[in-house]
Amino acid sequence: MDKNVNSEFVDESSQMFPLTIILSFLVVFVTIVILWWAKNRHKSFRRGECLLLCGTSNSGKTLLFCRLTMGLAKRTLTSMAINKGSMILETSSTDRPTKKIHVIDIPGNLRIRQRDFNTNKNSAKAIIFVIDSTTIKEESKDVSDYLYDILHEKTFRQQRLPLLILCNKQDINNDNITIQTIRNLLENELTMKRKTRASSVDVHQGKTELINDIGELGKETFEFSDVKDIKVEFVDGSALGTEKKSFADHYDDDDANNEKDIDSGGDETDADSGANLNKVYDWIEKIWIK
Amino acid sequence: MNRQHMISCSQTIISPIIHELIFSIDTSLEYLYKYIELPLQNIFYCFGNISSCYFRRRSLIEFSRHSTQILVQSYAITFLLYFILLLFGHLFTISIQNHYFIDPFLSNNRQCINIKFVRIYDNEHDFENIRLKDNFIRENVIIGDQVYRKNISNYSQLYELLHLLEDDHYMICQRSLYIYARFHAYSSLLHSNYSQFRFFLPNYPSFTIDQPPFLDLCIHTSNHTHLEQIKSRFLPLASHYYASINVFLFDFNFTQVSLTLYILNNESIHLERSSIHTGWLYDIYSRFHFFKYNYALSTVLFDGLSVGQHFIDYFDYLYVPLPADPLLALNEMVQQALLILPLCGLVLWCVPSTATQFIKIVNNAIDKAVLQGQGSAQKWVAPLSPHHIHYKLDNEFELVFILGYQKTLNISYADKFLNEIQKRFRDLYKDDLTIGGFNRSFPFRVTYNKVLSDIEQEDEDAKKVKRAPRSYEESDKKQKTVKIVTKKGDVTTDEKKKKKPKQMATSNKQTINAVQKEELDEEEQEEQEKEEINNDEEKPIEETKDESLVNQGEKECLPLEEVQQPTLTVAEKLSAMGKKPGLFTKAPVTKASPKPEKGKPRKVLATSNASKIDISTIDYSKDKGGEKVGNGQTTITTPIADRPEQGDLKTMTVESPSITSGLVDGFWSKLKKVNVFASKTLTADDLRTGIEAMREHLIAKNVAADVAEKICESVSTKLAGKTLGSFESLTTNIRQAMRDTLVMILTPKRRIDILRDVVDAQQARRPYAITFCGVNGVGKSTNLAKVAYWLSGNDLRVLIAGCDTFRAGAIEQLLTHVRHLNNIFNEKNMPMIELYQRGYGKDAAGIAAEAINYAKDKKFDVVLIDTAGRMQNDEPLMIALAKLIHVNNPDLVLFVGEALVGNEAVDQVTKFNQALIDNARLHSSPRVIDGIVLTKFDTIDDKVGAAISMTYTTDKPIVFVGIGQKYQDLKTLNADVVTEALLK
Repeated sequence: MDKNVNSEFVDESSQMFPLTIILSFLVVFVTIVILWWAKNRHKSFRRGECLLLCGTSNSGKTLLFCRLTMGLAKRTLTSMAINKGSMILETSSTDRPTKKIHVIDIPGNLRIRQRDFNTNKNSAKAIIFVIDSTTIKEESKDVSDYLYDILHEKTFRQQRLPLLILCNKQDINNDNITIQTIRNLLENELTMKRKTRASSVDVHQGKTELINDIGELGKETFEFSDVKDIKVEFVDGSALGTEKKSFADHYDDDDANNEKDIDSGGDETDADSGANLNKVYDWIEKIWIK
Repeated sequence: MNRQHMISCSQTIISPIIHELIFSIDTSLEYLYKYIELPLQNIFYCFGNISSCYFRRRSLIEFSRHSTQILVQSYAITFLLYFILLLFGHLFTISIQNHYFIDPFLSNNRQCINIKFVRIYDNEHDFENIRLKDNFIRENVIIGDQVYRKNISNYSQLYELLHLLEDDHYMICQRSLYIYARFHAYSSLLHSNYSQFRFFLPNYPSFTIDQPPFLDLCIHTSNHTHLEQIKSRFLPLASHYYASINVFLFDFNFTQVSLTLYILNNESIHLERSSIHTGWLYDIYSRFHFFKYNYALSTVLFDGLSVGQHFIDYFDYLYVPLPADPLLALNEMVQQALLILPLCGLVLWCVPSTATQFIKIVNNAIDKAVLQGQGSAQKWVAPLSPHHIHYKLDNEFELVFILGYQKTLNISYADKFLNEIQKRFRDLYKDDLTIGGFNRSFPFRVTYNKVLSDIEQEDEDAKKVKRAPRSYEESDKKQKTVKIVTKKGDVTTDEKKKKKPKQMATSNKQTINAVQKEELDEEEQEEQEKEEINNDEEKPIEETKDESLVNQGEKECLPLEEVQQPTLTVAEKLSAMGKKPGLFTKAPVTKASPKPEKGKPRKVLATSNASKIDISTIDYSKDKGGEKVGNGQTTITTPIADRPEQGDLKTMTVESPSITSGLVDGFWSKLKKVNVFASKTLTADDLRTGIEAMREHLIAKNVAADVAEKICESVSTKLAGKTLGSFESLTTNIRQAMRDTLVMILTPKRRIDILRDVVDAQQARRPYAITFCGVNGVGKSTNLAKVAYWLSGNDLRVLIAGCDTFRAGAIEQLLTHVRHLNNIFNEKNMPMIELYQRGYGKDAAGIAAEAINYAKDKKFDVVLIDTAGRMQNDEPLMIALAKLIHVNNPDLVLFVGEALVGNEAVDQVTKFNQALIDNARLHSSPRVIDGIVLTKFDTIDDKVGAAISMTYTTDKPIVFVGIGQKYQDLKTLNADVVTEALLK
């Protein structure tokens, strides 16, 4: 019996040698494919797990990024590339006390945001849209333009991603612009945007995508509550917030007058009235820890 | 070179590798059998047992055997094939790229960390007195004629050989060869003419030597006096026998090796300096899980000026020189803002006082200049702001260095200053930058001030301008600032200590101590000193620790004989040769520690000499320490300049990792370091050919020549210094960068939404005016009609103002368009489109004004102003156009250009723009072109270069493209499509 099997085995295996070679080539191919895939996978940063920070230029995205990932406020300038980092979210649940969230900060400059936005949109799990409350009145068109793009984005709508609109810079909000004013302002702008976008000139050689209107069909005005696919929320806050002191201290050789400069803006507002990021943290917690 | 030798070399090197390979495959097969095949068989057995039928069970078992056998075999073959493929790929890349990556062989287990002293004396007897370490001798190879290619066994032989060097031989310490080769590989950065010579390594046949007309010596030294000796010895030799002698001196630091290149010849002594990362960084970096070892290896820094310029003597930084005119210096300090920021927008460091006032200007500059990548000029002058902005991109770490200063200052050395700052900053913080650790402070003020004053000094020297001495107040002010700075600097030093307590703190403290003992003339330094003293008093423990370090450093800095003695005693006590250099490790510590504040290396030396500390006691303690180490360790440690624990000799030496001196050790460990897995830093030279090809390509695609040139330059500056991943090719990188740049150029900088703006105009109860201008025959009227069609399609009433009062039939043409369009939109009661015309020969500006007023009255939403076509160099007509635009101030000025033009495109748009600026009314900000309409886009196939040329020169978006004769043939530009067409 045993003998029998062995002789059979030997014979067959010798016949199978060409098959082995073919298989080996196949395996080479598979290995290469796997490697390629691994490499590509590395490039796209954590598909569908990230927190995206969007917003127009100078709205405080990078600062928010710093606050979220490093816990510090740093001086920032116009970003020229995306920031990637991860924040640790401390949770109340006992089994996993901390959670790591990847944060991507997309520069607001019009020239590069399109590209960075497109490359990173697939990694989004949630989006924070940062608005500069102090200049929203002047910039409402640009802001709503960007916001329209986000609300209109197919991938976001399909995944029904949550969107937080953060009215930033509340610490230097002298004109007393509340969330409601900003909301109304944006709704008005987006109402207009809905009309003009639909009838704008087609893109040359572009794909004609038929995506539904962002608001409710047949309704003249746009309201954020009409957006069904994306869960929009408004909060106010300030990326600079209460950590102003650390901001100044962080630069090793800052002069005294510099410190003063930074402080001067926020002296009038009290620290509790939305001048921090508690609401943002709450929101993030809500999404990541269901 | 000798062929025979090459063959023998290849045999010696290749046969062990093959053995290794076979052995490793054997082992891996065994593993596969053990851990994959057997378990699999077991699983199949289990299945077989479960199945009821006996016959089936048997067949299953057989099947399992077969399949596992096949799988395992195929995997083994795959492994083999894969690695052969990799090997070939690697060899191929080596052969095509002119880069010598010997790291895979040499950087094995930190071989390059060894610090050796080659001391050259005039007196031969001195050599005989020195007992030599075996491994030193073994590792130094004389290269040259076959006769002299032998290993030397002691210093006298070495000395002999040094004499023999006169006949075209030269010596390379093999340990340092790695660094030397690295230096060579990157020397193209410094001066391309060095790439003529190559290396020969006896064991590595891929390196060859072309008979060099000069002599290269690699010498490790830790002392300036040694250097002087070497210099004096070699200078006559140089002028006599060789065109030049290149002496490479290695100073070892915690994090880097600084390589000093002296070029000695009868004309001059030049000095260049470069700092090089070496493998031991691995120790520091290994703590960060995401660190890539390869980064450290491929990071090479040059810190010096090319031959022929002023040289910076590394050893002569006696004090921080004060600029000749402190008043001016202070001014500049206030008015210069230097910002260092990574591309992602965080400010890493800035000159503080000015930062806030500069931030807007800098933001603006980033918007305009950096993002747009206007050539390689890296300078930006805002048209209206009183500042110059210089910037410098550092692609490797993705940093931008921005320098801003008042226009009135006219600083001639801005570029030089930025370069220097860049180098220093990278030197200081490359560890953090490599891992992306922006989450820390970057105390840079001291270095900044030093560099500034240095450069200023140089500038002053160059100018030979005498300036008045400073006033009292100024000096006072300056003192104050420096005071604050130092205070904070110290604070941050402490912070750093927590994070990486090793090198920075130690080095800072050390210099501080040194400074403390030194008598300083400069006021600031006195201030600094005081601060530091205070600081030191607060932390007495640390100081003592530092003191020990300083003492050790002093010991090393003492004259040679004195140093040598204790070393020898230790050497005698320790049986293993390798342990001794544990003491030596201190030398680089002291020598190189002033790196962050380069101003004071001399001081350390001076202090040591001045204080005359009892050598014997130190020696004693040293010996003890050495003994301890010797007892504590059973394995043989090797001489390594490991990063020491703060002042703790014992820990440090124990930590020094063991080293395998054999070159062939473990195939797998070697493979890890093969270049396939490594990355490579791009240099301008690498890029040149690729960029050149790209430029040609762009020009072939109808991009204007100078625009193509500038774009290529900016792409090249964007890429230079970047590290290339192992699987990435240069061309794909260039293409990607080019694609990014082109898309960026084509993407509008400003939101363009005519319909939205029309709504605004409606609310303001005024018509929205659009002016079309351009040269003759580009299709102004046709595209105006298309725009009118589009606008009326959106329920907007359009008035066309026929301001072409020049060309016959222009108004009739518009009339025809209006009639056609009204036929299309005829369902409305009142005509959607109307033509406003006043015949020919009238003043166009007046007609336009009338038309706008008419539109206001009749509640038209949009006025489209058609102007006569004119050549860009037709002065009177251009003035007329400017008048039309400035009088009526339309909401949008569109330049209509045809896509057919090549170089002409740039001329057209710039002249039109310039005419509008030149002929602007006084005291009003000039209107320029707001956007571009690109016509005849359908006729050009993929030669879409005009789009790039126009947008690049004007920085204005392409609002519409005309792609046909029908009214519907008006589209917006698709940047991706155009870019693809350009790169096709």
